Amino acid sequence: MRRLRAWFLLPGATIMAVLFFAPLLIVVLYSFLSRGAYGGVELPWTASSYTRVFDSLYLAILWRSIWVSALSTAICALLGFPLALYIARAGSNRTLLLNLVMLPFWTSFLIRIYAWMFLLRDTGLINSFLLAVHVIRQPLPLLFNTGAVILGLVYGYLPFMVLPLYATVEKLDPSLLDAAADLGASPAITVWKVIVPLSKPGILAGSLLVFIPCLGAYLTADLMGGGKSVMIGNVVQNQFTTSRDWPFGAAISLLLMAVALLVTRVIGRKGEQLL
Amino acid sequence: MKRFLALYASVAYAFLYVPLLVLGAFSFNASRIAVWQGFTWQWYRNVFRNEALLDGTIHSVVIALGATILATASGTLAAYAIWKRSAPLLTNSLYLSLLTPEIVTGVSLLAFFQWAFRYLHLQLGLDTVILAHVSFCLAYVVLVVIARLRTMDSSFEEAALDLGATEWQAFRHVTLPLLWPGIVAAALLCFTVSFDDYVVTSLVAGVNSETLPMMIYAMARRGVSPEVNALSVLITVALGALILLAGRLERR
Amino acid sequence: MQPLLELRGLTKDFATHRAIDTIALAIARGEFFSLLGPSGCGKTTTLRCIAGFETPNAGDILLDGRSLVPLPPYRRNVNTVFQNYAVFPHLTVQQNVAFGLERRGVNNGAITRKVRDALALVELTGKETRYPNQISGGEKQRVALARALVLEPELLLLDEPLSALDPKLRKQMRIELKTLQARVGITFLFVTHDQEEALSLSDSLAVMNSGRIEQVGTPRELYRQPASRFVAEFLGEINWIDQVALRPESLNISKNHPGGGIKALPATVQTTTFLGNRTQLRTTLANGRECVIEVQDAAQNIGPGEQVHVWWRTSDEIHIPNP
Repeated sequence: MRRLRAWFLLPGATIMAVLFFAPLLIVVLYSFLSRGAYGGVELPWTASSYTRVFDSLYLAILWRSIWVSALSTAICALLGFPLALYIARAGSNRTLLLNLVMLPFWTSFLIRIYAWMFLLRDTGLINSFLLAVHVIRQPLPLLFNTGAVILGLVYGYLPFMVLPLYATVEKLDPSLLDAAADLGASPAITVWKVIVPLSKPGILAGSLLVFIPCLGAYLTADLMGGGKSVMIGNVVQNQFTTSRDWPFGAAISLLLMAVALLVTRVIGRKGEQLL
Repeated sequence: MKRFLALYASVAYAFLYVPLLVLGAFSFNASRIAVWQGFTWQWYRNVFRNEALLDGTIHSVVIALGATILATASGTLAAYAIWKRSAPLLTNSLYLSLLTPEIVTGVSLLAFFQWAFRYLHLQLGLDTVILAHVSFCLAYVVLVVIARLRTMDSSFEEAALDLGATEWQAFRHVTLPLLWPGIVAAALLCFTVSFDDYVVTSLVAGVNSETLPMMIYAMARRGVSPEVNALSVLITVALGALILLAGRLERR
Repeated sequence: MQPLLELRGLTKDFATHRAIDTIALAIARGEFFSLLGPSGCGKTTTLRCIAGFETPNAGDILLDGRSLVPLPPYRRNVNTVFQNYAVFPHLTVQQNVAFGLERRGVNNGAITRKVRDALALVELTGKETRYPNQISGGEKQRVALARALVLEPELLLLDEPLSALDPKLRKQMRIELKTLQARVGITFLFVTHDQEEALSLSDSLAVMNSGRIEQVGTPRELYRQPASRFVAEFLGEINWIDQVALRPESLNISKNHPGGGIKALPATVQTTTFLGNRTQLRTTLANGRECVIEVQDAAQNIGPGEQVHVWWRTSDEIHIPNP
């Protein structure tokens, strides 16, 4: 058995070693090198990229990314909770309703962002309509701002919140709700005092599943925020492409990863639990 | 309470679907601007005549197929080994790769390929994209397949050994067939994630390996174009058909 | 004569506890042998060590005088009927029974013939093309039996095979199992926690308790001459009167003292329960102890609260060495 198991682990372990850890190691090394004259990296070793990371400009962007992600996560939880509750009580339609939440996830993420751009642009459907019926004279600035980024993130990751929430709400014993009602709690009080506290594991799991991708979001910020709503992921991309400052990009990447890991630790789930 | 929830749910479903339905409807709009001016197939004809888009589609399918095959095969084997006896090092690595923001995965692979190619005299191309996709798809496969294995009774495998099957034969003739639905689900997830990926792909793709999402991205940045609407409808329909097909395979 | 299976000082430790503790056992060829004990006593672990799913920490397992310990499960000429049957859900009845023969590389003609015979033996002819989800629990049980027996093992291990069946079917399968064993002549090692099953099926049995074997013998010996209080109590209801133990059916009851030379004690009837072929009376002795009596003659007109005499023959007394 031992031999067979070793052979089975080999391809996966090789992929992780060569295509995950080796690249990560290179990023660590690069973060301590100097910027090359024509891009890339060169000697000498230096920690100057790290001192630049703590420049107030980049810390401000990091901070922005954190609160935009936190706000998106909170909105997802607020929007997702009643939906999960409704699906859990929908009887025989539950699977269908849950699949309907997950279905957009199976279509392209890029297309979902484009769908909102189509609605929100200056020449998009909403502005065109409002101009045509003469409600406005100038197009409303609906796209390319932080609000649009948050909308895009919520739209993109809402299914990730609903799924774990549904899993916990669905397991709640209905007699607990009857008991609360019997003891004189109104439906709203029952939700707030009984259902929400008992759904804590689902809320935490969902928050993690939404917060982590939001924090590293690149595409949503790039397309819906325009150049105006920069998040930390966009800074990383920019350093590796346009600015060609790889050591600095590498240092920010590691900072971003550190924040993601820290948040995961705080929310308190371990690898073995998730896998 | 119940009525409120039902009302709320219909608004939530509208939020999820109306943007996509509007996008689809306007792929048939006779005008380039977002005002309805009659029905046309024009944009679909344009999409099918566009050779660059056709090349991009071929690239995307090749990449997604390659990454799906490699990641599903190695991920299934790894999941089975982890299920047999825990492998904390690999498990934690996979977990870390799940937590790594896509953009970080992308730039680290870019840096790695650039560094490796200095010695190997190779170039970025479709193959580098496939390898990059395998790297982030592996964790998804292990996650899905392990979930399936956990619902499986280990006595089936013991029965096979008891009846004279070697470990390999027990895996091949008993565990693998029983695992089939999980493997199909994992492969489907890999395929859609790989087919859809822009962030990592745009960083590690070579000059002549532009993919469909890269083209949609470029068109979306340029402005509203009904061709993108038509293309979106086509991709969604194709992925939908694939999911239905996989559902059939799974139930077999 | 050399036993077919011999366990020598077999020991198995798990992370937190010792599951089996230096047990020794010998099973003769052709026997129907049962391992009886409460759940967690180590009987299933013993079975899994013999099948090869667990590696013992110490001791040896000999089949026909050769050690099984270094062999993987697929090289042992021992087959198992699992508690939940473990009939492969993706294979038909026919394919399930053929599974082991195919692994041995038996030619197709022989496979077809052997599978047909095995299915006839367990009366499943006609169900060859069914999948496990299209047959009943009892039929799955037969598939599991046929699948193991078709390989003609020297020893068949049965891990609580009847526990997943409903009570009526369980009784019927019990009879069939006994007939089947007599017909095929293969040695059966049967693990169960049901003393009625063990007593009615076995040629001999061993009672296990917390990793150790308490006693080995024929069902009659164990029931009549238990070596320990545990065995006495596990094999059926028993009353402790003075220094001896008495089974409920050894006790008699009468309104008056049965007369000189017969051991008797006064008692008060608490409840009477009519059980069809017998009546059970729960009484309290003068010293306050409860005493359960089962009598054939249900006509005795004795009701709760009545003062009676409980009497027995000295030959029915059970003397336990160290109670």
